Amino acid sequence: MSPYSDGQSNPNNEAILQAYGVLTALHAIETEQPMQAEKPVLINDILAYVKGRTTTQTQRVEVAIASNLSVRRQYKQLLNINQIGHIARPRAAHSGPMYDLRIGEQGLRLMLKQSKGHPDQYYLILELPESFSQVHGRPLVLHANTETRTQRAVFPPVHDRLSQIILSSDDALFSLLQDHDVEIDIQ
Amino acid sequence: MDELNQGLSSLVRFGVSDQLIQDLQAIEESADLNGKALYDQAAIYEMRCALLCRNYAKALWEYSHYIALIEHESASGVIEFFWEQEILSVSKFRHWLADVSNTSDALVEDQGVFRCRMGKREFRFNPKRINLMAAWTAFLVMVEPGVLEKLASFRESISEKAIDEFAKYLKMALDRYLEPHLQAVHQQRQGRVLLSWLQSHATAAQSDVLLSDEQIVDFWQHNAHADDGDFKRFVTVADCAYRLYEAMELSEAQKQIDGARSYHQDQWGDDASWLVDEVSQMSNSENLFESLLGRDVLRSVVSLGDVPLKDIKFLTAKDAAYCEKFELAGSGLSALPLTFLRAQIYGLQQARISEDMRATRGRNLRQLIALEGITGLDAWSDELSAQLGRIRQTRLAVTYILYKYAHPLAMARVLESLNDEQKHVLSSQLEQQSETPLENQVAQHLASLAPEEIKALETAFSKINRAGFKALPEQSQVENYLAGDKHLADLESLLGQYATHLAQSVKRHTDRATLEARDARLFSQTFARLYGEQGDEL
Repeated sequence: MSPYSDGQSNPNNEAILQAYGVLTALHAIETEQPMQAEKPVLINDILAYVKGRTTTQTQRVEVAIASNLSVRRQYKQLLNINQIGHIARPRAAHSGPMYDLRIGEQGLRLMLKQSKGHPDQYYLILELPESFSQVHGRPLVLHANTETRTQRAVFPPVHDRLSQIILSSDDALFSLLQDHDVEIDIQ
Repeated sequence: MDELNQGLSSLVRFGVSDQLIQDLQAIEESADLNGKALYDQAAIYEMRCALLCRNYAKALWEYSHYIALIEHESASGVIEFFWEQEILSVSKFRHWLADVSNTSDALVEDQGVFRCRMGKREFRFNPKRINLMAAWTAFLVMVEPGVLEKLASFRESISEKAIDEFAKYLKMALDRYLEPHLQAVHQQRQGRVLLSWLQSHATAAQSDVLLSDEQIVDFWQHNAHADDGDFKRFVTVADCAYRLYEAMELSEAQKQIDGARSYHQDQWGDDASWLVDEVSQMSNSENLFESLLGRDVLRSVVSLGDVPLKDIKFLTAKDAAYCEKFELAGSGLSALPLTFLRAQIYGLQQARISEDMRATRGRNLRQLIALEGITGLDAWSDELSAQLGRIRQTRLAVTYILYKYAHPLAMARVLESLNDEQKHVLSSQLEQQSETPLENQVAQHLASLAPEEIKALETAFSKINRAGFKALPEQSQVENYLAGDKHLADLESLLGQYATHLAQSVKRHTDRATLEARDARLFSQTFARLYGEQGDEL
């Protein structure tokens, strides 16, 4: 037998190597193996989420962003890479009954206006300054993030520097926009 | 096996963690909106081979060139390039390269070949490789999200130095990530190599004793240089040998069980046992795994370090580290006593050599290879005796605590230490009592009858300055001291037995000094072969 043959040529060896494999696996588990294997969320799924596309993975991506540090890191970096507008967390406390206006860098404005006909509905209006002319005519994606929650909404193409969607007061995004610590990215 | 956690199954079967298999499978199953697979089979296969064989340095170097160019030349960066513009096929990438070559000075198309000059280096881009590069990106970003930040450095410029650094960074990230996921397969490979070598080098007379101290050291001498198996460190070889020894024991035990089962079946005329065996063979490792998972192995050091015993500090941190090595060697400890000793003495020296090469670029290499100032067998034996002494001392202190609470175990231990005359006197004293003596009364008799023995216990207690021995603990704590004492007794027995086996092993050699001199020569020569050249170059 060659010194480097696989050593499995007789049943006795097989039994020894089988036991050896089991002991090795046991050692790995006792020392450093994670007990649960999870199906990973891949970068293409995260990119699709950032870009506002809805796929079969969207729900998993949303959960992973809130619970998996590696996925959250990838998500935040993709937000930075593709970002066209950003509204940071407010520095001062808000005293009004609700957050109905947030102003971002370079004059980007995000407004909430209650519908007169349906008081439980709100218009979420995105107003872009002149300097954002390059994004006119294409849909925009809003990402709202706190440390623990993530929501997104796709806006129709900008017209006359404005784009709007309707939110219900029950929507998760509506409640997130009322959170003081929310940070908003526009893609 | 189905009842077992899924994460364990692939580790038992293939030595690869279930998480890694899951990660690779997820990439393989990635599809576009039309359900078409994003990555072709050849790309997935090549990446999987590189990862599972831990042979990816060159692949990452190649990958870094593609990624650098794409990040530099593409307006939206690598991620959008692959998964927004979906440039994943040969034709799309070829078109893209042709477009870039029209505007870029660095990238040139010459008869369908795309060459890029990066500093002094010229690199050829093969459009057929693009799908593989995308698959690598998906895997690498998942393993190390920091890759996305690093990519940004190529936006401004690309140089061969930056590319090499990026490849190195990827390799380190991947090494780190794969360590727990592939360790098992690597170790299994080591076990196979060791077993094969031992069998091929065993003489007829040795065939029933494959694993011996001399075989192990011989194996290391012959394989420390080999690329296959990674046996450079003697400690690695020793660990491998202990596990192989345990595996041999297990397979032998299994054989006996099977033999008994076969006999039982023959008795009952069941001649279809081969069919049962076919099936049982398949689930054998799973069953073995399940039975071993719940086995009662000696893990005294771990138990003493767990709550609630941890706070008592039965062992110092240094002593715990010392004793743990004995426990981790398992049953191989008594079978391979010299291997364990060599791993402690020369394994430590090898670690010093590695550290010296890292920290001082081998300034002290010659002295270290010459084994100057190394702890010899006598000093090591003294250290073992001292450790046994400290364990015994702690147990005496525990006995004192038990004695103070008149625990029967303490009484029994003091009684054992009495001479015949003292025992006779005590027996008479107790007989004079009309009722059954209570523990407290026995304790009082012992205090007057054997003051020196009690004093010795008290002295042991007062000498120990660890948390649980500074003051007499509350009675509710007594059970914890009893549990700790049980673990200390196990350790004392383990170390004591080892000392006996070691003494017997040494005795089998011509004499202690010859054995020591031969070992020193052998290790020094092998260290010189392993590290000497590097030392000479420095």
